[in-house]
Amino acid sequence: MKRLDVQGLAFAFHPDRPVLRGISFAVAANEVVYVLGPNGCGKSTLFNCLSGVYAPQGGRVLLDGADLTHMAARRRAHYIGLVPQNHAAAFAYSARDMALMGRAPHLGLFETPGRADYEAADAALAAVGLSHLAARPFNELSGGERRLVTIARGLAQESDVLLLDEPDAYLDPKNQHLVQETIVALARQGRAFLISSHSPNNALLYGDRVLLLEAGRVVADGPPPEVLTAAMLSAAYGAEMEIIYESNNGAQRARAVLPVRAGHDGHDRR
Amino acid sequence: MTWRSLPRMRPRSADETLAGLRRLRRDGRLRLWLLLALPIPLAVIALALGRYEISLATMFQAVGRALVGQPAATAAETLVLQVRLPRILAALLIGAALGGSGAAFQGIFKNPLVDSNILGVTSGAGFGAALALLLTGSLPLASLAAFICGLAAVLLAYLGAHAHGGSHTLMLTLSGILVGSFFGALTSLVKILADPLSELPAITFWLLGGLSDVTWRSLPLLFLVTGLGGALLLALRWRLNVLSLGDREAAALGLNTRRMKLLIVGVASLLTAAAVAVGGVIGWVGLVIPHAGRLLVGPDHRRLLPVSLSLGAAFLLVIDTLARATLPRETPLGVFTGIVGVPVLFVLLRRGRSGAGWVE
Repeated sequence: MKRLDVQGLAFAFHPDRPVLRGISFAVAANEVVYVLGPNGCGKSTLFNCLSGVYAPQGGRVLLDGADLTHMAARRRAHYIGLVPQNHAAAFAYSARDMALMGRAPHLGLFETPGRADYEAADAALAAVGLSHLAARPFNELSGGERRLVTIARGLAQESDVLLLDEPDAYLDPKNQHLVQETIVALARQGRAFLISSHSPNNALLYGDRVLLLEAGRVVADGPPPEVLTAAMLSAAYGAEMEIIYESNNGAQRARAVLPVRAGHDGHDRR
Repeated sequence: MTWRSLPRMRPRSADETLAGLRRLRRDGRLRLWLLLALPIPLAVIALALGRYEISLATMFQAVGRALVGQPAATAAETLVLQVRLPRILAALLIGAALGGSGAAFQGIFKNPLVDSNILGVTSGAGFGAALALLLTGSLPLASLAAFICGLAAVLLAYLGAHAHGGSHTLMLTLSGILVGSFFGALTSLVKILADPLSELPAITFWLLGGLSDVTWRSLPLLFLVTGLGGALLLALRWRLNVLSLGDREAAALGLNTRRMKLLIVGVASLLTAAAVAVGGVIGWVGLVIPHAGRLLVGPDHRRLLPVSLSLGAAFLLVIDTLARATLPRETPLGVFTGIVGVPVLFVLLRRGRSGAGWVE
């Protein structure tokens, strides 16, 4: 893939309450793009529209010029995959069988997974560090481990673009780091990742670019240090935020985003 | 693919557990084949059992003679070939159809408490049969009417759900329950109108299910539908895993969920309608068998579906053999499956939630 183009995407559950009001942006291969924004700004809906779970009511999604919105589901799943937020299964499939389901777009209607599919699933489980839990029932795993299994499922899908809906939720710091480093490494090999998150710090640390969403619109789009400013974040989240900088030979580098507590002068920490 | 060569951050005994996994799979395979073969020895035993005792030698003679095209030589041989054999085949086919369709319905509704009647097939079929018995008194016509009304009920449930926001599982469930109660009420109306001395007992017995009227003529349609439908479900068995994740996840994984669900609902309903048309309303098999299957081989539909087909066949054969061979008076199958099925389900529930392969 070379480029994912999203042009004027619109979606509403009720006509008088639009969730997405004309979202446009582009993602190039090798990029890790973080989508930030307050609760209810439309991050999950955007991902559901991009991956074909919902049919967009306006706009287009183009991957190297091919329109994904009017494509057969199976073909689209080769181009774009989704790791959703919820992580429950009605039946206690093993972690390995869950990861294996990422292979669905690569298999015909009547086919069952073969050796190559098992290899892809096992490799994906290894990439998120869960090989030792392969045989365990999915619903006996911890919330974080389930998260990792669904991420492995997304990796096993081997789509050009992978959308991850809050992959850092439920994960301990080590696993957040593992998952995001894996994502960055995969992106450098020619894939692209869109990650929705509530952690501006993760965007700062691992992101190539940040999209800031507010009420169904893109309000900022650019490199993390440019988008993640105190003014921009305070306005987007409706809460005062500050950026902690690190000085290195006179050059300042943003290292962390923190909320400002009432009565505490944040500047004391410098 | 290059990304598979990425450094792995936690290789902790991965190879050991994979070897363990392979060993487990090998053990599981033997159990799987034993379960799949189970109906064969049971059928041979059932052929010899009954109120009229027949030796194994006579039984094999009869079957052998039939295979080379010779007519039956004795009354015992006629009994084996004309009464017991078609009945045993019907029990196997109906059990397989109910077990398999139950597993498929539970899969797409991602709910282990669903059975084949979730979309009102059985209720519709019951009404069709009751109406035909009231109007004509003819059993073959009742069978046909059951088949048609069963499918009509599912169609109604599907269209009803479709009119209100698509094929979402919850809408489909609600619509199915509504259609089921509607046809249940119509059946009650037919019963009220029926003559309590002649028509009502016929209707009641039909609704309780039984295979005592089965002849060779009942079998071709049942065989065709169960064979084709079972094969189609088997071919789609891995897709059922993906569908059971729910519409959204399955759609993101590249499945055309609406078309897949329509196909599986259609096939599973055909199976159930054909089974009910021949055997009457036989409850519990579609609910209990997939549970038992999950306990024995786990929730993966690649194993669960074939095992549900064979376990359903074996279960109904055992129940029907008990029904015709043990009690002095033939007991309706629907009664027997309930009496045996409920304790079985309780035992299964005691065996634990995770063991049963489903959540809470």
